[in-house]
Amino acid sequence: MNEMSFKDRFLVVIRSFLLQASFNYERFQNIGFLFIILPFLKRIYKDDPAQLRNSLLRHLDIFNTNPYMSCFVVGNIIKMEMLKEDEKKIINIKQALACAFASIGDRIFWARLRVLTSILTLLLFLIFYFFSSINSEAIAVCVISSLIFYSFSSIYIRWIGTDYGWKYGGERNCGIDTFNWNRWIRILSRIGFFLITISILLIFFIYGYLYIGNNNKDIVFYVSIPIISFLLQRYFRKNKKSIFYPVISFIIISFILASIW
Amino acid sequence: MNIWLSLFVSSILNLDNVSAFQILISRPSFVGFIIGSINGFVVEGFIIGIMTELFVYDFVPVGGIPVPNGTIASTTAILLIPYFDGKIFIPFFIGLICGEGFSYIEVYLRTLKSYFNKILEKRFMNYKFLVGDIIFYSMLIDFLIYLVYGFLVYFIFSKISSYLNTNYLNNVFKISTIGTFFIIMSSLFFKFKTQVSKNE
Repeated sequence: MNEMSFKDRFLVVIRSFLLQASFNYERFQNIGFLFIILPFLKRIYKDDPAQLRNSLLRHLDIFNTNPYMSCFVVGNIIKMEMLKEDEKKIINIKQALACAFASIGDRIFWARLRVLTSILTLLLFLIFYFFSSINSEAIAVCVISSLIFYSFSSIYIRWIGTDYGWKYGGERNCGIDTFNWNRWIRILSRIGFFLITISILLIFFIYGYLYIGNNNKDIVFYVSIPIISFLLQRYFRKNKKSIFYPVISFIIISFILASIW
Repeated sequence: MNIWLSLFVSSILNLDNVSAFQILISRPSFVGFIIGSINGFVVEGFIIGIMTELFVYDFVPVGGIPVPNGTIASTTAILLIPYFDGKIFIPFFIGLICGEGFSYIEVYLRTLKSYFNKILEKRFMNYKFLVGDIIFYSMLIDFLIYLVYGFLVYFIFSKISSYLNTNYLNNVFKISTIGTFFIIMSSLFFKFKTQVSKNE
């Protein structure tokens, strides 16, 4: 094995979808990682079962990274195994890359892109509600368009990751500077902030129209709900409590509000 | 029939959460849309789904920490809608409880899966280089546990629904649903605001 063909890259990406299938608290994604690289190790060590066994046992060790970024690590490790690099060097680079890409991937995918996809879905729904009408087709558009956006991003990064990981193979910076990650993180934060602001403005407009506009009798009641919600969220966030705390507190307050009104 | 079909579809979609793909087909809004379509509550299913999704995404699954499972939350909520005369308020909160409950089961499952490491070590020592079946069984376990859990919570809550479906409680949870939505939006707004100001 001297080159990584299109078919090989495809195999890495497809197998990387199952990275977390055997996620365990003892060694995290180790079995999934082994599953991805197994066909390549079998090819590299086809004439040496003892070496293959050693290599598999070595990679059965702890491994944990962001699933979307795993292909960067996989590409590097397959190349290093193919070049029969020093065992210790392979393990050290594997662990260092796993940590670095976990940090980047968590910030991009879990903290931003995933939430941004949801806000996009909500915003599309609000736009349909505001300008048109809500039916099955409109909801399908909201859900599927945002799903395509996220799926494409996640598959693209896996593909690119395999490509760059293989290209650098443990040398120089192992493909970690493929993109200007900080720039992307900044851009995603700004887009997220912009979309959530627009969504909130639309929500207030629709809420005002639905509950407050034609309802002078209960105006205090309906105005008080967002204010109480906001205050509870700020109070518990300040005390670093999970979102369950303000929600449970609001349910308790709701018992009182429902009794009064 | 619809219950089993819904739970079966939901169990398959749930694999996307951790075990396979991670392309967000397990996201509650998508699950809500699909399960809602199966049961004839497309709009209600989507509304429950998107609210659950925004709630669950307040948690970040960094380092393998378990987070409330939005897939089971939205599925259970949608399946319970007929027991609450088509109202989504109480089912939405029941769904959140079920989602949080499933996160404890996930902890147990992940601990249990550590046993596979020993099996593989033994195999490799005996020159048997097979991993695919472990991956398959892991996913099968996830699928079956989810299916059983989904049916159990549905069964329990459908039995006690007649005690919960009162005018007073529906009013309480209608207010709570509106309040929760504003809490979620407020949380997301400040999350992105902090991210933007940190990046500056």
